[in-house]
Amino acid sequence: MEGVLEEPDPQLLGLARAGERGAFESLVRAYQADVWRLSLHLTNDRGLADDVTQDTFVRVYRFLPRFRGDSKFSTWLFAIARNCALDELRRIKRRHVLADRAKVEHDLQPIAQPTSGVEVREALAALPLDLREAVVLIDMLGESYRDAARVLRLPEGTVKSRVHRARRTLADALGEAERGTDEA
Amino acid sequence: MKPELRCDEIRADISAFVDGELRTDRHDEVEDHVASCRSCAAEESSIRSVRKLLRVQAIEDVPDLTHAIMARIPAPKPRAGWTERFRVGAIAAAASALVVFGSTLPFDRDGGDVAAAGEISRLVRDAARSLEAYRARFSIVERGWHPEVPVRRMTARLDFAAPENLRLQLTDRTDYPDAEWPRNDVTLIAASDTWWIREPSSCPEAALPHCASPTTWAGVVETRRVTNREPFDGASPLPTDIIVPLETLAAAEGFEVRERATVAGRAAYRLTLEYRQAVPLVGAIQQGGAWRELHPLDRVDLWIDTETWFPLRFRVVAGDSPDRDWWSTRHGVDDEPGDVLLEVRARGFSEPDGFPPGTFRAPSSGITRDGGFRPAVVSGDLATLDPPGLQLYRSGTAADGSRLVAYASGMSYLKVVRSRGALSPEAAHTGEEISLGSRGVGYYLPATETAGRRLEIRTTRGVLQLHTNLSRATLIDVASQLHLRGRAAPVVVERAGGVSTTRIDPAMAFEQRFAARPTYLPDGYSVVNATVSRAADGVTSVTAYLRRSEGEFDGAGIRLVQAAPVRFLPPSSEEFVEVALGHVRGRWSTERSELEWIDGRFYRAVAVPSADLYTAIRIARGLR
Repeated sequence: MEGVLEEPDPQLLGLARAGERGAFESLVRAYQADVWRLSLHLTNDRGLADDVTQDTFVRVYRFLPRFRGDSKFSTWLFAIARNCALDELRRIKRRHVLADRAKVEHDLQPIAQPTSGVEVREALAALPLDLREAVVLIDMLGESYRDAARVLRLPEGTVKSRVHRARRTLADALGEAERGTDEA
Repeated sequence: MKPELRCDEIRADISAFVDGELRTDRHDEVEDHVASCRSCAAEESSIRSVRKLLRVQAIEDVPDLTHAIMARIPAPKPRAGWTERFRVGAIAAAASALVVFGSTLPFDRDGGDVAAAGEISRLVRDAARSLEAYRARFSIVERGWHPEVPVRRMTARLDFAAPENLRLQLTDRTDYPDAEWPRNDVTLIAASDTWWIREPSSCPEAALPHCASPTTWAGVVETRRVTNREPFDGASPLPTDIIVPLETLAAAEGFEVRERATVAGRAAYRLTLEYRQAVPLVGAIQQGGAWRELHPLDRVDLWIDTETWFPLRFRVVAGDSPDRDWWSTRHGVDDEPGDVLLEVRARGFSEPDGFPPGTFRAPSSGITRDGGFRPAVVSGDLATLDPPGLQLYRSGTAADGSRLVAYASGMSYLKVVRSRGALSPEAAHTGEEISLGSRGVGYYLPATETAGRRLEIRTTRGVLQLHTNLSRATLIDVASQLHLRGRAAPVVVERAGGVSTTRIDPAMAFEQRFAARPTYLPDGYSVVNATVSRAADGVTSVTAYLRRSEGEFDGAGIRLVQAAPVRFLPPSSEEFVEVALGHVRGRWSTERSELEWIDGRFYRAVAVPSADLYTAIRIARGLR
């Protein structure tokens, strides 16, 4: 059991598509955690992750009637979440140029909290975005290479090499940290 | 090959290897190499531990954003969703109150002149009965026929002289990419005993435009003709619902009255209905040629003249039925909910005193079929029926030797056919048994796309069939006045392949120990017939047929099959959509529009050929 996402009940999905708020709310409850985690790792910021998650579901509600069912629902959802996150990052970048640089940089600090996973998260946050999104989709959200390729609109081969480069980089970074701790 | 190079190549695939994402042969290759190469084995274990670290990451403290999200979701708009439609349908059927919904135009509520749906049905029937002549021009816009021809424009002229003279001329005015494309020019000419059509040869969509190209072969146009046509022949029908939508509006529960409007300066009601209910109307302009597909639950808006009951305008709008996307994919169309797919407007109409000679004379060309009807005077009880408001029209002998008498007035008709044969298989198998009081019983079938409502009566001398576009109630009334005694249909309706099928009382359809009873059915549906089949291997199944009373134009109503003992769903090569039904999984065949599942040791299936998966699920969930 490695975080493989369950697809929504088709009748729930049907009701949500027909605009039934109760059904849509159930979808929100079922999927918000995964959307939020993806958003968090794409933006490296909890506040932005909240905004992106909300934007994602507002878009999902609007576009649900167009969801054709030719990909998994989660794949479709993650593609929307990723777009929202990239939009948000672009907006931040624009603001970043205009506004108080120091403050924004503070906001964009990697999430570093004193928990057991801190090194992993730091290392992950330090990855370039293209490697990070591939490894988050596959290792943290349990997507297959094929579905991740759909979310990222990339060939499967590219996804394969990005995941590998991401893990390789993380292995190095974490190995470094381990060695550092050992020596200390 | 140098060993280092081979190791680099292997390592590039290590992640995919631990993820199980490699093809089998490559997987084995990597596995073998890793087993024998110390440094690659170290690499594999390092990648595996990172992967594991990422996958067992403590779940972050995820906030619950449900309220924030729902606050940003637009409030529900009044919409023609299912519940709304059923509620409205039920009210319309009551026919006593004034029914107005979603009014967008100024509307006077004081006059009490907004007829309820039942009242409109009645007025439309009266108008059809008194219409003698009609002439109109229409403009037609169709969207989404072909990816390279997104919009087509046509015009139509229609002349009609009651009861069976009709000329429909459809002219395609589309600007096609080039001259190769077949034009959708169609001419239909019918008189009482002949029927003639000229239309473009049919062409599979993938073969367009060349398959029927004027430059590649001569068979561009097809001409067919029926001579010695029997009155009101279902195989060569007249598209009269575009004149007065008699069948489309036959059942009050089939449409809703929305608002009053003015169209081309005339007072109109806007009615809404599903495409499956409006098939006779929409199909009237589609007698020949090629047209885009429409979904049974697409919405039709119809503006109907409040004085003449002629359609002034109608349009088909892509619905938002949850499985319409699968349907679209299967039919190669790409619509968004709300897209106007077809729009027809009357550009002028009149009720002329006469027509120029030859208006309804068909050319004598074309592939000809002899309808086999021979006019003759028929005496006896058939000729002395007195259907309300109709006059004797034609009588004679049909191709199979049966005797028939047709009565008509305006567009309305009643045809009585006496034959020596047995009940038709349809009537015997699926017909609704109707009590005719002291006259015994008859077997009733609602109108279909091409044929009228039908009642078959089995007598000692053969079978009497009544065909009509009058209402079901009128049909039963007329049948009750016949001097005969209708006998029950044979109990065994079929015996084939070791399975015998018998008719049972529909009230007993759910009395078998394994048969659950539906607590939800779409508006207007009821169980009209049921059969039990017993197979040699001990499997017993009960089939219930559910229909609406006046018409089932785009399919055969709803069929509910339950059987025991059954452990597995029958194998099939179709593509299915998996559906969760509470704690069990079912499968939905888009091809057959049937939802099947196993409930313990019982097989259950709901077939809804003229609806969608959502309807099937609601019925399935309502089974008790």
